[in-house]
Amino acid sequence: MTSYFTPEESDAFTEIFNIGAGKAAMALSELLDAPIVFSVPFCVVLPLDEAVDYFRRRFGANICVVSQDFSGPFDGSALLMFHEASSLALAQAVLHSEEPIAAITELEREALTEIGNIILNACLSSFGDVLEREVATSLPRFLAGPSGAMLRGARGFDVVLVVKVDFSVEGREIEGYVTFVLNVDSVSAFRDAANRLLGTLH
Amino acid sequence: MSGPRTVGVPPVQAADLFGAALARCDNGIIILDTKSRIVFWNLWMVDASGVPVAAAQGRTLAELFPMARLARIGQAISQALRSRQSSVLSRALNPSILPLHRAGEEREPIEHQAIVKAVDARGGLFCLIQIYDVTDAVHRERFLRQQAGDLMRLADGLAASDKALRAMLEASPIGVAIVAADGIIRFANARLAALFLAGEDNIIGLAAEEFFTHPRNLLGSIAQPIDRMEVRFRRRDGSQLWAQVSAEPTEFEQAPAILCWVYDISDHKKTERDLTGQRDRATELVRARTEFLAMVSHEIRTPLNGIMGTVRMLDGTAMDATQHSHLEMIRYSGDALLAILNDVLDISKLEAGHIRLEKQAFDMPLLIDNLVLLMSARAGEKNLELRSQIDDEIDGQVLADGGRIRQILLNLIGNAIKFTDTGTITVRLEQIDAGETRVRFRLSVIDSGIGIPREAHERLFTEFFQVDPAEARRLGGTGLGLAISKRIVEAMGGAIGLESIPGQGSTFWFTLSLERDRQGHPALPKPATSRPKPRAIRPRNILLVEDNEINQKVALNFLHRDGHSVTVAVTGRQAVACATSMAFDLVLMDIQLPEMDGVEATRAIRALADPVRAGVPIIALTANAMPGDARRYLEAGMVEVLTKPIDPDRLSRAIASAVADNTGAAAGADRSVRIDASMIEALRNAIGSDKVDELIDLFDTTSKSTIEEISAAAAAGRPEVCAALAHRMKGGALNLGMTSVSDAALEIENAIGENCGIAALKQRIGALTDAYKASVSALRKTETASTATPA
Repeated sequence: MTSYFTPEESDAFTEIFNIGAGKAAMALSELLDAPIVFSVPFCVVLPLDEAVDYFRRRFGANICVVSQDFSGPFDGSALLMFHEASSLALAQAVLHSEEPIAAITELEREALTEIGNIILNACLSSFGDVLEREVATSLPRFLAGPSGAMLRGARGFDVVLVVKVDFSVEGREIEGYVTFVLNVDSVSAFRDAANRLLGTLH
Repeated sequence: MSGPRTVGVPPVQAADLFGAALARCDNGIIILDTKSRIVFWNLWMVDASGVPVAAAQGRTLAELFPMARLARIGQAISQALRSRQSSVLSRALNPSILPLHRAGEEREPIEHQAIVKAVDARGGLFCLIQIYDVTDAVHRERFLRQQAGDLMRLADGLAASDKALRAMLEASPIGVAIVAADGIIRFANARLAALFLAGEDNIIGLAAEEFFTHPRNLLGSIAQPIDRMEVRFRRRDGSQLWAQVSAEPTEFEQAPAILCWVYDISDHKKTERDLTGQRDRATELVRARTEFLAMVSHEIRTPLNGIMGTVRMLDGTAMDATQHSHLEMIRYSGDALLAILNDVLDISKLEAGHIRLEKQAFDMPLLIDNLVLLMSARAGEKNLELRSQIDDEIDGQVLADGGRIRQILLNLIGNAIKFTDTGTITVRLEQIDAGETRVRFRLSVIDSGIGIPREAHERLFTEFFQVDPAEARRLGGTGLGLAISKRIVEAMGGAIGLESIPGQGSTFWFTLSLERDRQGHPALPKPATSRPKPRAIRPRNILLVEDNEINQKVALNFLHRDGHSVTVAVTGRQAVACATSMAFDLVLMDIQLPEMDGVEATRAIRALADPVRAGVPIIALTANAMPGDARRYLEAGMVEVLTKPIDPDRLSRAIASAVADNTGAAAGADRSVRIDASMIEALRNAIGSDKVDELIDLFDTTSKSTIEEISAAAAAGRPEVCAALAHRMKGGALNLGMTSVSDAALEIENAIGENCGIAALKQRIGALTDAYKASVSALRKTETASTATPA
């Protein structure tokens, strides 16, 4: 996995995502009128096939995904992935529902889509900020289904940058992943971003 | 008109067209420039915000809506304009993106969501904001959510009660199953699985038929619910399961099914089987015993009858006094044995249900009074008072088997006397109930005797039961009386029972519902007589007095057939002449006779100087059937009345009965003690005083019981037994020269021949008792006298 990025570069990505997550947390806290804490414990780069296996192992059955395509210095898809149970817990937290939510209906879908939209926009704009370039995003999509199918849909791409994102919303700990499905060209743009950040730090 | 060239729209016109289309678009459209100033504000936005296009253009949203919280849309706008990022603003997380309302008085808020994105155009970068009205969706969602909540709560409640019900079902000692129409078990509780599978757990999905002992479509045929039907099943392990099954049609998962409740009754069944087996064996034993007794009794009775017949024949032959007394002993013992055998046969018949009830008209109070009179003698011997207590206002005229009722009462009274030493015995008749056609009586025999322990009450009415076997042996009896009584009462549809306090006395009672006699039959108890077979008799010397030639021939025919020698007289006067000059064993006397009628002739014969000839038995043969005639004939001294046409059996019987002892005796003789001293003298000479003493004691003992038996037989409606007993006693008395006793016995025979009332019979039994007591006492005196003065 480190064939694409050095450990330093990976650390730099983690930092970039932490900045994005911080922005997202701020936006969400304001939106939900509740304190939200994000943390990004690690990020790894995996070939697409390994990533599929990883998420299958990680999530087992069904996952919920909010995805946005991005373009600019690099092209690809960004996915925010939750285990189904986590997505239900998150929806319950953001909708201030007293009852546990049993299924993703339109309301939950909209809410989760907007949350994902805010997080993904924040993360991608962090990259844009570092590169001093625009990273344009499409409108978010909400998908639910088997994890493998989600990533396989991204054929034509080579690697997956997997960013673990932990949320704490209203006392609930929610585990999620932000993944960037990239082609090889985009990998170098990512590396560029990492190096720029490292340069500003050193 | 249309062609490829006309599809396109010229650019200038296109700008106008798209502008007009966007302006009239049914969503809110806002376009901002890079400085967030409004460059386009469509008509939907005008309506929803109340801000005219002119007022909106060139202003920022913050300027238009200073009071609104615009942080989220501001952030999205800045992301779009700064880095071309797209954003969605959901209704779920943004209750109000912009202050939008419907036109009109109510100013109902418009629920909306927004999409914010960057648009690159010729003039540079713009931010496009699209607003969607989702009010209907929100309302629908809210409604659905509420319903869902209600359903959830309902479901929770159901789940809770379902859980409770399931817990109950699982813990239930009753197996519960739901069987679908195809016979497959679709639901079962743990108990059911335990019942049928014994250990294995999953019975659901199996075919119910697997557990049936023989294939049958129990389930397919359930139209009506089954209530506690006993069904035998086969368990998986092959063992048997007896269960009580209730079932009813139900629905399971929208399909018809049967709900079954299965309760294990294998243990009950086993117990029941054991008990049934025991009962059957016991019943079989009882039946076998009864049959055996009946068979043995019958087998004994046949030779016994032979013995008794032979005894009767011996009786007519010449023998000395010792032989005669021995013969009497044989006869007495034989009769006692016969009585026991009859009891045994009686109970056997009753047990087998072979009881035939007669229907005669009689008067219940009279029946009881007569019985009490009859039994008084026996009671008197123990210094007991026997009395009747009969309710006033009794509807006593009934149609029933009086003989059987007498039999019951006789038995109860007999027992009462047997087991009471002092005090009173009361026979009580109460009328419990009287309807149009039936009347219900309660008859009780109340004694002041030894009483019966509580624990013996139930068994008292069973065969061969004796409260105290030692006592029973002392007092005699077969132990069948109460069992027979119970059977008879039950056959009559009544009930029998007792109340008793040991040491204070017992009350035996029975109730009977009897048919009322509306015909006004004579209130005379008519004993149920069974026709005894004609006895084998010795040829006799008979005087037939008959004027009608045809009747003569008929009678002669019968008499010759039996081997008798017959002398014929055709007038009363001739008859008297014959009886005076010749010795006859018997006279058959017609009543309607020329010169002197039969009654006069009889009186004349009775008045003859020769006591033997005067005492010849005379039987009336008459066509007269007027009431009172028979009494007149008997008063004249006749011993029997036969009506014409002559019934050969009755004739033979009457002859046999009348001539069994032809020792002359005058009817209506006085009751003072008359003893033929020469007879005693001869006896003393022949066998010695000691033997005579023994004979007198023997006579005393046997006579006492004979009189009891006569009373009992009379009460039981068996006059022929009465007559035979009286006759026997007469013979014994004559052997000892007790003329007054033999006369009294003869009177009883006569009275029975006369079909007299029970009161008259009782009176004569009393006379016989007096006569025999007086005679025994007198004989003992002569014995003492003769010892003092030896001849």
